[in-house]
Order: sequence, then structure tokens, then C-alpha cells
Amino acid sequence: MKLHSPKFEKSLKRGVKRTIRSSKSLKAQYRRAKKGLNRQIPNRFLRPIWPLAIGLIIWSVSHATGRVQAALGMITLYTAVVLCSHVVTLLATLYRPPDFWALFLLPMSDREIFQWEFEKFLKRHAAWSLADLLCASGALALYLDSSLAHWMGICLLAILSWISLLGMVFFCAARWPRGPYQVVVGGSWLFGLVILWGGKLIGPPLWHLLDSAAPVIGLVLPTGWCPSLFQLLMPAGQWIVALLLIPIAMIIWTTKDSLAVLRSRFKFHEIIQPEVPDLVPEKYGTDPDDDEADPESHAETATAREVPPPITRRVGVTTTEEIIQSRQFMAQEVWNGDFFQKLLWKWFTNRERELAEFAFAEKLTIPKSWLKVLRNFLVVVVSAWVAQLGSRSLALGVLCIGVFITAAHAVGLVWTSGRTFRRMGSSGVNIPMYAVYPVTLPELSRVLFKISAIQLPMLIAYASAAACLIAYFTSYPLLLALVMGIKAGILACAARFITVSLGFSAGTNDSNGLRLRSLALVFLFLGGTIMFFGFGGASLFIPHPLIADLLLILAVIDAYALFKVYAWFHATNKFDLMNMPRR
Amino acid sequence: MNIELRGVLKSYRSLRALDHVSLQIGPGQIISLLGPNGAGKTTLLRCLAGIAAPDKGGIYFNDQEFARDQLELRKRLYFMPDFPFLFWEHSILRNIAIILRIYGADGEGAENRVQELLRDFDLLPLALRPVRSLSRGQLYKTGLVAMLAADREIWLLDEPFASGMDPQGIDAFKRHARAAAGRGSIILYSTQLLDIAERFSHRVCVIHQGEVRAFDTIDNLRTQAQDKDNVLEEMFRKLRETEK
Repeated sequence: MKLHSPKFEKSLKRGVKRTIRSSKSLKAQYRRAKKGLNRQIPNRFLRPIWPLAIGLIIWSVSHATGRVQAALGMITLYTAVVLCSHVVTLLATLYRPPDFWALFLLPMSDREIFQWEFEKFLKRHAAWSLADLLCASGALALYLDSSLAHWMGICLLAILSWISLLGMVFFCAARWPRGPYQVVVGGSWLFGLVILWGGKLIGPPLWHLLDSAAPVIGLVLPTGWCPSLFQLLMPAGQWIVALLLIPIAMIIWTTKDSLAVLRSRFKFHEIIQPEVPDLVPEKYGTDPDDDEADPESHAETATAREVPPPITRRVGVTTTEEIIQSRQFMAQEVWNGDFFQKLLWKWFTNRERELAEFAFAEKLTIPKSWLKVLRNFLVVVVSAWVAQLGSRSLALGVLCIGVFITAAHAVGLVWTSGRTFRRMGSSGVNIPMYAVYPVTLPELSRVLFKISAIQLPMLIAYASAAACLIAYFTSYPLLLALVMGIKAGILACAARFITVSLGFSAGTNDSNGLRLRSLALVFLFLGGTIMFFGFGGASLFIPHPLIADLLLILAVIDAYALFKVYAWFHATNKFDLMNMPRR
Repeated sequence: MNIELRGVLKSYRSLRALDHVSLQIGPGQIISLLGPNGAGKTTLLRCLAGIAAPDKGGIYFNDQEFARDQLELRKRLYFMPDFPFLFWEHSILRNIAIILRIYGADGEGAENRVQELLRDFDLLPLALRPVRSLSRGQLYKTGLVAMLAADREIWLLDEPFASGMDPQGIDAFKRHARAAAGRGSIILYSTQLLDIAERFSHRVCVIHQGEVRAFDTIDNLRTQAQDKDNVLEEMFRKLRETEK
């Protein structure tokens, strides 16, 4: 679809070039603008390399296991991640496109804008997944030393996989637009990094697990149905697998309907927000009928009722003035809701209490959040037990996924930052909120560290329980697993030093350009993190207890040292507390 | 308090935003920063606020070199970006309270100041309204009320007169700024409105392509100008000509 004639585009480009060449200052401006565009070029080069990397991984897995099943399982899992990634991208491209307002102002119908954005998704994103699948299948064919007929069959299967993948993407975007796609994509990246880092250590057992669970994964995940058809091309392939063509055809058949649903949602309408109620300080927020009563009577009413009714009206000026004069609005919200809040409040200094309010819009509900982790963990335990009745591989699969999700939840609680690193746009750059106010890195970090430290017992308890559970299912010694769990909990808490540094770094331009300080910071983060993972990983697996403990201490010291060095860079104005928004 | 910039140089890649800027600003002055778009006005304000870090040179407050970890020094200045940084989920009053606490300006008498300022800026009826429901001008006024209530020694404002504030708000701001300058505060603001700069500043600082082209009182600049009634317009015309 073209929004303008190619002739017009050509003449416009020529005209612009002519004008730029004729002016010295325009030339300089053009060069500056081009530098910004050049920064996007690495992505253009990296994306074509990606399918080759996928092919290489698939070939490596086949080579490591000596079986095709593991590679097929890998393709299934990768396609599932691509599915989630595509759903997120499709929804963003269709409903949150950066060029929407420009297109909306043009004389274009909603249908045409939809078509424009949809084609953009197909060209920029979906087309690459075809290349991924072709390369992955090609790698498999290469490993099996296939004949020409097999190559053709494999290519056809890859194309069928891609078509069914698109069908699933449209179906998910149309029917389940709020699925946890982003979490899956984020988690997969993290998992990929872990494999990349500890490939030699965790690779072989992982490939073995994947190999044994691949048939189940291929059946359970719809993204595995097409790769399962690969068996039809093998000498010992079972023809019953061909039955999978029925659900695949059904998925493809839903495409038209899914697209119709997506198109029907693509209608511009003005969002009219309901009237916002006034936010009245607690003592005043209980009596909606009495506007002018004195503050004390309000306070009494508040204690008399257990749950104050929500205020859905405006408060009069007199009451507002009373709230101001009584300094109600200035009263800091005390964290005294539960044991942990009280403990934190006692531990915080006065300044840290102020910053806790700055960093967290609402008080932290630590016990409630950890009860959710406990609940989810119990669900994982029960699910793994039930799955074990069917197959051990399935049980291990359920366990791995469940522990991954609950661990991410638990670590997320310990690493919580609230709105500490929130950024706002200002004159073309993004500036972290704390940078505009007199708030320093060390004091804000202390608040976050204390919040993490107070959750250490729960994190250790969770990590120990998870390690023991995995040990039970893998017949690993329980005592060793318990020690590993405790150490993993301590390491996750120590990693907070690194994540806080990264949180501050995210709002700055500290790694921009090829400068000495940028390189020093990149090396600091890379070196510090690698050392942390190295020491931490070794402390978990080295059998000698004294050396393992020493390595654990070294990992903690390494994370703390990284934070302190970064804090020095930050304090001494080595970089700006702002960065360019993403294009 | 005195502010001194000594040879401040700041580049964004090949673009030199500030080119060896040296300035001395004494207490009790209102200074308008003028210059074409991209001249370096906002960068100068950000350097003073500690957001941008100069590549070379130094910024001194009372002869003390500025660094980000000097909390007490940072508490003495207030930076207002073109769009105030507020917590969208809280009311105007809670935002003001959080900011005052961060500046340590929530002591006795703060309530009277806040009430008077809210009334001055017509925000009293909206004081409990969540900030996200306010208009652009009201948002800026909220930021201004917080700044005025905090009553710091140095005010750094980016384009306060292009903030969507109504004439009542602009008038209130000017009144409070003049009073603060009378008490010894430094008010440094950027603007594109030459007539406002001419009438509402003790000195103007004209920046072009990162360099300070003029830093003087309007009266002194007038003596050097040919068109005595349009001093700043003439200066901008000349800048444009030199650029060509």
C-alpha cells in the first residue's frame, strides 16, 4: 500500500537534496541528523544475522543430543516466544502506532490506516520470522544430510509453520489481547542469557531434558504441531502425526475471522474520562455529606467506621483551606500497616522516610505479596505432583516453568523500585524524576536496599523450598539443595546492588559515545556482572564448603564494589542524568 | 548566593551546546536567557541544575564547585523544566507536600504560604484534584506553587512564559519573582518573548550557537544599539545575519 505516488516521492527527495546542497548550514544540520539515524543501522544489520544464529543453535542442539527431537522441541519453544513477541508488536503497531495522529489527520479512512499499519507489521516483523523458521529447518536438514526432495519438504513445512504462526498471532491478538506475552518474551531473553552464560554447565542436562520432553511439548504447544510433522519426512516417521494437520488447518481457517475482529476494533473515538474525584487526606475522606464540619469530628467518624466510603464528589474551598491550615496535607503517611512496614519505618531515617514516599506511591504490602508467591508455589507443587502421574518429563517441565515464574515473582518483590526511576520527557530528552529534585543516589539507594534486605528471610525461605522441590523430583541430595537454595537467595539479594546501579544508569547517557568514561562504565558493568555470576555460580556448585562460602562472599563484595564505583561516577558529574527517548 | 560559570563547555556528539561559557551572576537578579531554538539555553539551565554534566569548565556556587552529591547545595536551588515533574497519581496538595519535604521546607508557616499561593494562582478549588486531570497551564502553576512555597535562593525556569499559564498566573509569577529577587534570590529563566525579557529582567543573556553573545542590562545594550526601541529584535536580526 502506498500513501503517495512514487513519482511524487522521487521529486520530493530530489528537491530536498537540492536544497540541502545549496546551503552550508543545512548541510551541517543534515549531517547532524544523519548521525542520529546512523545509530539505528546496527539493528538493520543485526536482524538478518539473527536467523543464521537460530540455525546455528538448532544445529548445535541436534549435534549435542544426536537426536532430532530436541531440535524440534527447541524450534517449538522458539516459535512460542516469537508468537508472544509478534502479538505484542502487532497490538502496538495496530493500536499504538507513532504515526497514527499524522495518518488520522490525512484524508484516510480507518480501513486504509489499518491496512497501512498491518502491512507495516508484516513487512518489518512477520517476514523475519519466516527467515528464522527457514534457517532453523534448514539447519536440521543440513544435520540430517537430507536429499533434495527432503529439503523441499522441509521448506514447505517451514512455510506452513509460518502461516500457522501468523494465524495464532492474529487469533491471540484478537481474542486474548491481554495475555502475559511481554512476560514470556522478557523471561525468555533472561533464560537465553543464562544459557549463553552457563551453557557448558547447564547445557547438557537442559538438552537432555528438552530431548525427553520434546514429544510432549510438541503436542501440548500449538507451535509444536507443524514441527512435529517433520517426523513424516523421517524414515521411521509415524503417519498418525499427519492428524495434526487438522488443528493446523483450523488455526489457519481462523485467520480471516481474527483479522475482521482486529479491524473492527480499529475505530477512532474520543476517550471521555469520567470526572475525577478529589483526593482527600484520610481523616477528611469519610463524611461525604458534611463539607464544612471541623477536622476533629471527621477524625472521630473515620475511626468509627472500618472502611471509609469512597469520595466521588468535590470538596468545598472552606474544607480545602481547613485541610491546609491543619497541615493535614503535609502529614506524612506512616507505614504502620503490617509488621514489615513498621519495621521499615523504624529502620528508615527521617530523610529516608521522605524518600520512601517519593519512591513509592503506595505503602508496600510485603506480607500480602509474599502470600501470593506462596500460593503460586503451592500450585506448582501440586501441578508437578499431578503431572508426575502422567510422565516424569512432563512433571519436570511443569516444575521448571512453575519455579521460573514464582522465582521471577519473588525476585521482583525483592528488587522492587516503585517509581524511583520514573522518567519524564522534557525538551526532547527523558529525565529521571529524582534528578530534578535534590535527591542523591546514595540516599535513594539506601531506601531500596533496606526494602530488599527486609525481605531477605522470605527470599531465602522461598529459594530453599524451591531448591528442595527440584531436588526431590531430580533425586538430588536434599541437604545440598537446601544449602544451594540459601546461597541462591543471598545472591539474588546481593544482585540488588547491580540492579540499582542499572536502574540509575537507565536514566542517563553514561554509555553513549566512544569516550573513555563510557568504555570504563561498560567494562565496569560487564566485568562486575560477569565476576558476580562467576563467583556466585561457582559458590553454588563447588563442593568444598569453605571455598564455596568464600566465593559467595566475593560475589557479594563484587556487587557492592560495582555499586560504589558507579555511585562515584554519578556523584562526580561524569555523565548527564538524561537520555534521548527511543525513536 | 553567587553563581559563576568558568569556561563551561558542553557537547552533544558533534553539536557544541555550550562553548566555553563564562558568567557571573550576583544575588537579587532576574536574568532572562535569550537565543534562537537550539542555542543552548536549556542546556545551560540543566548544567546549573546538575542534570547535564559539563565536559569542561566548572560551575561554582559561592566559589564552591558544584557536584551532584552536594545535597545541601542542591537544596538551595530549584529547577523547573518546561513541563513540571509531578506525580500524576497524587493531588496538587500532596505533590506540594512531597516536594516541600524533599527540600526540607515543610516547617512552620508552610501551610500559610501554600494557601496564599494556591489562592494567587487560582488553584485553591482544585487543590485536591489529581494532577493528571489538570490542564497544561494548571500543571505548570502547580509546579510554580511548589517552587514558590519552597522559596529557594536560585530559581531556574525553562520557558515559564510558554507554559500555557493564564495572564493571572503570569502576573502572580512576576510579582512573586520580583519580591524574591528583592530578598536576594536569583531568578534565571529562558524565554523567546523579547518584550517580556525586556521588561521583566535586570539583565539579559543572549546565547547563540552555544556562545554568550551578550550579558548586560537592557539600558547598556540600548546605548550600543541603532534601533533604541527594539534593542533585542535588532540583536536577533544581527545574529541571523552572521549565521548566513
